[in-house]
Amino acid sequence: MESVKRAKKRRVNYLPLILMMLPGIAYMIVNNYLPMFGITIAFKNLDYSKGIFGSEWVGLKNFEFLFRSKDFFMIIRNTILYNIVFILGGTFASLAIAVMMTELGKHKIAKVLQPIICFPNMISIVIVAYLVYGFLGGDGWINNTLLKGDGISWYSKPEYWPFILTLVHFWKGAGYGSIIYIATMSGIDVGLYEAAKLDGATKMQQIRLITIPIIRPMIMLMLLLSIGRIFSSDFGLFLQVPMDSGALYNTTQTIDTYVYRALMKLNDVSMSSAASVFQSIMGFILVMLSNLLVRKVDPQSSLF
Amino acid sequence: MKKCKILSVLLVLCLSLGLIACGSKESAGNDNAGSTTVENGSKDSAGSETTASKDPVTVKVSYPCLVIVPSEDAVVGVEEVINKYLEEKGSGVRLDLEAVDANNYNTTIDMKQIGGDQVDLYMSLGGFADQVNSNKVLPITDYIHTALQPTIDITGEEILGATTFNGQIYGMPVYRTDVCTYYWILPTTIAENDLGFEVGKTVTIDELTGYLDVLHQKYPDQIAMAVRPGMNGMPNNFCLSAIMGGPDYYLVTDLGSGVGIEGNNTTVVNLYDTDYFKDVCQTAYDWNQKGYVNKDVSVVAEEGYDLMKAGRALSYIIGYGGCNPQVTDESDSTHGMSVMYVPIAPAINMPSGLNWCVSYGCKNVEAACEALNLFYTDPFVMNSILYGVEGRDYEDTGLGNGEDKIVKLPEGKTMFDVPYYAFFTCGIMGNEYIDWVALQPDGTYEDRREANKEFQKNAVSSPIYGFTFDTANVKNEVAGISTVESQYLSGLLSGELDPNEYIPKLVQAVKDAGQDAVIAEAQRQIDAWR
Repeated sequence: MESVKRAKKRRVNYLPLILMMLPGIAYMIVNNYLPMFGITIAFKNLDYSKGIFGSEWVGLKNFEFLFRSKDFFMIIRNTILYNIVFILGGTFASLAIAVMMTELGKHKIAKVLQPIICFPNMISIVIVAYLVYGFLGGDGWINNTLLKGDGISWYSKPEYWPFILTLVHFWKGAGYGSIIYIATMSGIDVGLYEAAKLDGATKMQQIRLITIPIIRPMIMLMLLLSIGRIFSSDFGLFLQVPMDSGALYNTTQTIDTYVYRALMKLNDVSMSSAASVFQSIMGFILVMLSNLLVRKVDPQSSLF
Repeated sequence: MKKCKILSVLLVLCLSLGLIACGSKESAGNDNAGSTTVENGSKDSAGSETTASKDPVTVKVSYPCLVIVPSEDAVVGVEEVINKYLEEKGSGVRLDLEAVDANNYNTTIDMKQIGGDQVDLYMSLGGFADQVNSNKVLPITDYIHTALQPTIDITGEEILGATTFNGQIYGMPVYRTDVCTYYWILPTTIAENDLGFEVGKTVTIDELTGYLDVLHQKYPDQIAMAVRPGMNGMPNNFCLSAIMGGPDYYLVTDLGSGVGIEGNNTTVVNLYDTDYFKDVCQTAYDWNQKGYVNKDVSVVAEEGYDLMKAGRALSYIIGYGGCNPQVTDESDSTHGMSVMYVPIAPAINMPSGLNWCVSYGCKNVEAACEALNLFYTDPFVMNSILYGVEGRDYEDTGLGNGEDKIVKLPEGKTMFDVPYYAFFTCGIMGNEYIDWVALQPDGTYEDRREANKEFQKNAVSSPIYGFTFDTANVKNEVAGISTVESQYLSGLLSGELDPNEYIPKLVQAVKDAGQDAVIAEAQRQIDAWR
């Protein structure tokens, strides 16, 4: 009798938690799972009068425009390379910020700094594009104030843009990405650091030997999740920030911007779905593969 | 403890409210002030009373609105007025009006059609061939000589050529002055004092370069000629392709994807490989090199009139439908000063691509055609859609000719104050020539309708007027060419890139993308169409 009562009490305790999860789960089902049947659009020739289910199958025809393009390798190269730099560099930058913020921990200034480092992420990328234009434009600050005289026509020189875009990406995202690391780091037992200090460890040694190993599972998790999106790119960053300038294509064209520019006039839903499906499937394969790899090396850090 | 419990219950309530709130099914398209897209059939204002033998059918009309999108309430007022009039007239249809923001009109209509909302009559703003191919529209061939006969009597049957596919007619083109005239716009003070222009002055492109030089010498800190920012993927340019493609210069018919006809023949060529294109790019490059134009000309997004208002630019080129053979001296709020419109040249006459279509979801095509007929033949219906409700949104000045009124805004109100104002849609509804003339703020009015009609009649048409290129078989090539165009065109048309170096690159790139296949397909279709 007593044990039944205790079991009942435990179940009731979960109820508010489940209720709180419900909206999120419902949203996820409706937004992420229900539309999955739409993947079929990529393999059909969409006919509005017949709807999605009634349209005829055309196999891989919708993928042709993407694969047959002579720019195909360039856009894949751009997308993947940028993402590798963003993932690795971004993780490093976020970690650095997280470590620094944790050091400040108790000081009052931490409360002011935290919103400040998150702020760039909330600025719309279109505004960021114009901020960059304010710096790099013909009449911009860099040309007028720093480089008085001739100035450089930034928007027609593709070679500078990998650096510019990487910088903008880090400025915008590193602060926001550091939050999750800060949260994890705050859970580390302070006693460990005190013990290390007693043993004579320097700050750098403490970071390298205590902090990083403890949050390694979190880092691996974030890395694995990012790999799933390696074939996608931040559309706003690659289209808006270069002000949609044709001269910069060689170094700023990614799969997403390519699809946008190719299909803007055609308005073909099936072809743009095909490009999206390609990105998602490649991302999925990569996540599975890297998870397999991680599981062999460090079972604790794998996703599943 | 109790406080925690109350707090957690409140939290749960808030979260669940959030879920319910986002369950409303409104379309994502309209983010503009005065969005009007809530669908409920209860807006059917004449549904209660039926007259004569059959019940009147309600036809939903979704029309685009530029600059100002009226609110739903305002539109309901207009609907009531129109439906009362239709009832008195004994018409078998009633209208359910829906004003949609023109900037995302295509997307909004798309969403509605996919989402199953009621769409009966709507406009295809470009991309008509694609809409026919994906079966978004229903054929109206059967009703051309019945419900739409009065319209055909006015417009003639030739214009239907633009909407005929495989023997079926899928839309009714707007009856308007399609052909544009391109103007050089600059402040009146500068035009008269520095350049010695008088009313009646026209200018050619070569002369224009000379005048720009004069302006640049005199005002070196200002932009002599502001570029026209492109939008939605179109490149920044100086309207030179349209001007030089006109009858005064090369007479070019552009079919898209760099494919078209140069001159008065029917041979399809690669337009990027022609003297016409070289001329356009060379002129722009010239202006750029001499410093007449904006810095970063291929990426700026500022409109010429804004720059003029701010005193940073001296002039720009733009095209307007219809004719203004005289140089008109107008003062308007767009520029903040008195400006002179100096005509440069007319463009070639091509079908506008503005067609009224019946959506595939429409249940009663005959009723839709009857409603459509009203836009071309009935001035009251047409102008109520443009101007609104008499008394509330406009007033009759009494200067007009009976049914053909001359109207003005109510005393003391501007177009932004009245509940309903859709005059900017004038050029793309039905029959432009039955629109009522609006009184200018200074008390004068101009009835250019007859002049425009004459102008349109005498305009030089493309040798393949009425032909629409169906790209269904060459979609991949068109997509590839589209990317190449977005890479080079902006720089070439705005004069940033050297044509001698980059035109060959462009030509090679479009060839690699498969333009020859597109040219062959276009030629095949044109030969079959003739």
